[in-house]
Amino acid sequence: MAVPVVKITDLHKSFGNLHVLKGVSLEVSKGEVVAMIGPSGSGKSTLLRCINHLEAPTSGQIYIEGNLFPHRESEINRVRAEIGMVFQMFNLWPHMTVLNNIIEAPVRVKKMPREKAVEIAQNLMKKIGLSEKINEYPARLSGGQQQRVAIARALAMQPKVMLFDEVTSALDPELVGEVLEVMKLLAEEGMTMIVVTHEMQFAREVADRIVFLAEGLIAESGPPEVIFSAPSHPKTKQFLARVLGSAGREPKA
Amino acid sequence: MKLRYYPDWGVALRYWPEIAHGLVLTFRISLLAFLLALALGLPLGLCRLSKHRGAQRIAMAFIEVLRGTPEMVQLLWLYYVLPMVLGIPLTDITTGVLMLGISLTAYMAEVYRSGISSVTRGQIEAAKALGMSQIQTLSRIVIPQAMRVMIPPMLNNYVLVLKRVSLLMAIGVPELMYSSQRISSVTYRPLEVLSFAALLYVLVTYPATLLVRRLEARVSTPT
Repeated sequence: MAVPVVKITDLHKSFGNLHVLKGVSLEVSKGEVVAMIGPSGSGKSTLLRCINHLEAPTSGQIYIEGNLFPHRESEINRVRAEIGMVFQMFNLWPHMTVLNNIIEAPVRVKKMPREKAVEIAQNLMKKIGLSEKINEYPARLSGGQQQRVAIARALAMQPKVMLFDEVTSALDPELVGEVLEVMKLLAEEGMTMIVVTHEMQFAREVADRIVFLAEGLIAESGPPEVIFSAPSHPKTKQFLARVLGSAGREPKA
Repeated sequence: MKLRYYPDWGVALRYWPEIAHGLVLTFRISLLAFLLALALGLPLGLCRLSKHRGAQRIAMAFIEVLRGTPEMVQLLWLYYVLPMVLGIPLTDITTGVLMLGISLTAYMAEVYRSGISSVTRGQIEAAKALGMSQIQTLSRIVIPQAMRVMIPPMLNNYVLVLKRVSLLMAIGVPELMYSSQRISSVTYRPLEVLSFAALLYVLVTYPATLLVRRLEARVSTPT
């Protein structure tokens, strides 16, 4: 059996006295799309941020492609280069054009020659449908466009896994679709993805597996058909009832 | 009551060579002190921002002492203490440059701190997530953006140093004020000479002040 791309073993994370993650274990295989859902404060973002060590776990192990996540800064950076992350607030660098945002890391971190990085950037911009914006500054783009660029910036590093931290939560509703389209495309191409999201429809359509996180633990996990139609854990039922009921969105049969 | 004093405005021009020397020395000292503070201010500012409690506390203590004592006190202290501590004599100019430079470092550290803080945490996290090192993040993402915010106060600080060089007359450095004072006492013409010195200071600092005002306006307009 192939080595999982991401393996998390008994992960605990506390912020001072606040025990956020209480022993989470998870394995994600190559090409798998895992959607993490759950109430606010359940630890979904924290879990994601532990995977690339933006938060240092209090205890537990994280394995990327079978290798334990290192402790030395230089090695941490090397592993981070294999993991792509897209943030809720896009976090594009405003003093650089879209092109420079995308090529900065490949050139500086992977020591890629500039011409090659530019070529990759151009292909990615075409893929996300924003070729004409490549020399613009981020401030001139809409939220949805900025987020798509942020995805391209992460993809330029040719990562083994992509982490998405509520990437549509800060967008106006009409801009959400264009970002989800790009993510759907990535999933179809076989990218390994871990997506923290509130977009239930998207999770149902695109994810291979749904993981429901509540109060720092995985309460339930399984394929979308099972989780959305026949959840077993009471907390899952409660959450889905609230989220799907209030939004008036019934999961499509 | 009418003042029985007939100004002789030519006197300052007659002593122009000495005054010019003083002015040039003022510039040289201010520039050296500024560069010293520019270099030392960054590590001090970074310590101030550091998550390491010890480094942060030391930096804060250093800054508070420097900002809380009058420059004259710092100057005389260095003037008497430094040669004792180092065991070698230092020229007045060197002592002066050190005092001005170290004193300004505290203010520069605060400028660096506010400039670096102005760059949002999210951008730094994005750089980290992409595998960029601390140095790469600082040099490519943080400093270029922080500079926009930092340049007006840095320029302000330069103007302040330029004026503070006049303190060095207390230890006999022949800068502009020392020269002016000397000339006005030998010619008994304080009005003309000191007014002329004041005028020179204004001519020198005003362009910088104007530039600061224009840059500050540019920084506050949205991109």
